[in-house]
Amino acid sequence: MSKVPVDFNKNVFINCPFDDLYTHLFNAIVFSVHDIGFRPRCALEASNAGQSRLNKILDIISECKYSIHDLSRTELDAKSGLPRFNMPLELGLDLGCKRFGKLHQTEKVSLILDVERFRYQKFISDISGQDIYGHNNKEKKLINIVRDWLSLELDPRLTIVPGGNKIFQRYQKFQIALPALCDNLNWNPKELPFADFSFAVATWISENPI
Amino acid sequence: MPKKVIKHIHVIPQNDGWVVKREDDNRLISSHETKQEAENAARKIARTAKGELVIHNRDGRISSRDSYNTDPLPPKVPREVLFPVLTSKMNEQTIRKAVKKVIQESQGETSNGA
Repeated sequence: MSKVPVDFNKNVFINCPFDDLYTHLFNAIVFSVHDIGFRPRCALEASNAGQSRLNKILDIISECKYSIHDLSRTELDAKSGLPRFNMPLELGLDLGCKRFGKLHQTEKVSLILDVERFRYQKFISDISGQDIYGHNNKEKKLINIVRDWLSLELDPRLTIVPGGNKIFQRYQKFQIALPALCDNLNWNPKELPFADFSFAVATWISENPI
Repeated sequence: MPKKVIKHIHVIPQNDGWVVKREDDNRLISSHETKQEAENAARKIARTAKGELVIHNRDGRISSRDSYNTDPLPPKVPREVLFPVLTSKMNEQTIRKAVKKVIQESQGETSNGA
């Protein structure tokens, strides 16, 4: 029997663009995952020396039962004139891990996001049948999608889970606090250190119980 | 009073069949060709153990739950907040202090403004 990684059932792999235009949505995902009681993971975690980026991503995928894949960036890059393939690649790795992985990895669950719900049919139609939602680049909609998707994994008779609108209100409060937090910690708001930022979000949520 | 541990028995898809697994130690209890057979076997175990039966779909999502726990109304608890593992303990302390400071300052502004 394969050994299940610690907190496998609580880890959520986030596969999304890491550009300035997406930062507000990325922060909203990280906040909502924490506020529902799960732990966000992503390729921006501190790397081990000598470990390739792909190996790091594979390790994280193997340690997460849940994954959120945002395929918003299908357009050609303005500078290079080429599309970005990282997000679809990592989605494929995750689906492959579920299909060919160890027993516990066959339980993996994925949420696929795009700007519009059915746009994927034009560029990656083979993923039809998965949970695919459109967020319209709106934080509130994104938070509600992530909340409703992840809360299905919690027993409502045993656990108090905040609703999507409540999480959005809490996220807005956190956003108000974020500039002062960045000042105090000398963080660039456009390039937040992921693990430290995630720790700050978890601390803020603990200090502001629902 | 010590907290009662509820046993969770899962019915999950595996390859072309279905398996029954115990959650606490991830032990594979039995394998079945059909979901119904797996569900029947798991229900019997959950009933005997006064535990909880958790049935998954092919896509990994939970399709239904049945409780055989004798406590009909267990107390609800808020979800747990999970922290990432940081490589530096110093970072943890610095971040905790900074977050608390920002919260205190915002509370001070609110009470001064009121």
